[in-house]
Amino acid sequence: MYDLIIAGGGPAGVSAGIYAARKKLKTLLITLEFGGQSVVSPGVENWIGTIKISGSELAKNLKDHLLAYANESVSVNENEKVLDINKSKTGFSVLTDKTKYEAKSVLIATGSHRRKLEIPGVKEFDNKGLTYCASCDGPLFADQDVAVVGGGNAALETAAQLLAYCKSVTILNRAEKLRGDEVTIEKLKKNPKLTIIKNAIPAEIKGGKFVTGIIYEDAISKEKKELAVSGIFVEIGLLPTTDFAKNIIKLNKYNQIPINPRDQKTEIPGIWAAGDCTDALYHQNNIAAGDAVRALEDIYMYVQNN
Amino acid sequence: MKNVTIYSTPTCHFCHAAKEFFKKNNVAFTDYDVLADKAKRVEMIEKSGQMGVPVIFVDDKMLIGFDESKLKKILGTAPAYAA
Repeated sequence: MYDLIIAGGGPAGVSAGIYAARKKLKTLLITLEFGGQSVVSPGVENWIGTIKISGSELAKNLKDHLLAYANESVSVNENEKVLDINKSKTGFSVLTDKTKYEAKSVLIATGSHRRKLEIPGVKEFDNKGLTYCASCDGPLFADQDVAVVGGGNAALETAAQLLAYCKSVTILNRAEKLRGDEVTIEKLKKNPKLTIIKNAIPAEIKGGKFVTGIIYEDAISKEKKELAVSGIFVEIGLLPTTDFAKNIIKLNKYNQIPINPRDQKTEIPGIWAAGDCTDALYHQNNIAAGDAVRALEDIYMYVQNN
Repeated sequence: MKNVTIYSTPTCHFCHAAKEFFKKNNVAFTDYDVLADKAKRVEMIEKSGQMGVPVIFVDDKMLIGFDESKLKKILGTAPAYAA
């Protein structure tokens, strides 16, 4: 029986885990892997205290920091996935793909997963030119023409990475304005190999054995146009990873976990949530970490009084 | 002793995780960097019919992506007590 079970090993889960260890709360942290969504980033420049760090290294630092203090208080289970949470006599029963655990309290810090394109061709061309990981697969497209679907920071980062070795990079943004940081957009625009097409809504992926192009619709003229590319990189946002919690918590219409921003409590006494899986307004590593620490301070008081 | 090969790219997190897994389990492997080596890049795409890394070969068996439990089974490094 644990005082606390933490679901998730990104910046939120790890922050709570470290604080739990230092407060000697009997805790179990369950995660598929460490690091969170930034794990695939070639360079994170806004993790406070660090000028630039790769997502892989950030993941390693988070894990090492947790393990350095975990001791007897915090058990860490990697490669394990939470499937369900239910109320029990003494608190909660957490079911995973390995076994079941009991805890007085639960912190849900499972973050988000990437949204996938849903247009004709996505199934046939997955990994055959259509990819969701530039830092993994980008190099396969060296000297080729590629497209990046999206306009947020992830899309800009992907474009920046690809510009280093691709023949040309075309960003397809569905609206007039790109949502990414101005600083990054300005820097990218200076590169002659980059083209930004606005008001472009992806319609279909074309190809034979591999991708040969993407058809998009101009949002204003409604005209359909085809862009000849051999690689399509998709960075179109996040979906909360909260399916396992739907039996115990009422998710909002975006499938986020609603929380009280003052103490990170969910509507269920004994359950807190932090990070991208919640209805917090903004999604950042630094915010996830801060929110999780706030949650843990509140959890500690709860455990002391119950 | 199994012949293990991995086609990888330098910034691929899953490739890195696979190589860490090999090292941790004392599995000798050959690493082909398909960013640097164009011939190996073409070879990987032809052998696997796709463009996702990592592509791992254990003798003749091909795995696309890093799946730790599958790898453990194929390499025979799964624990005696299967969970």
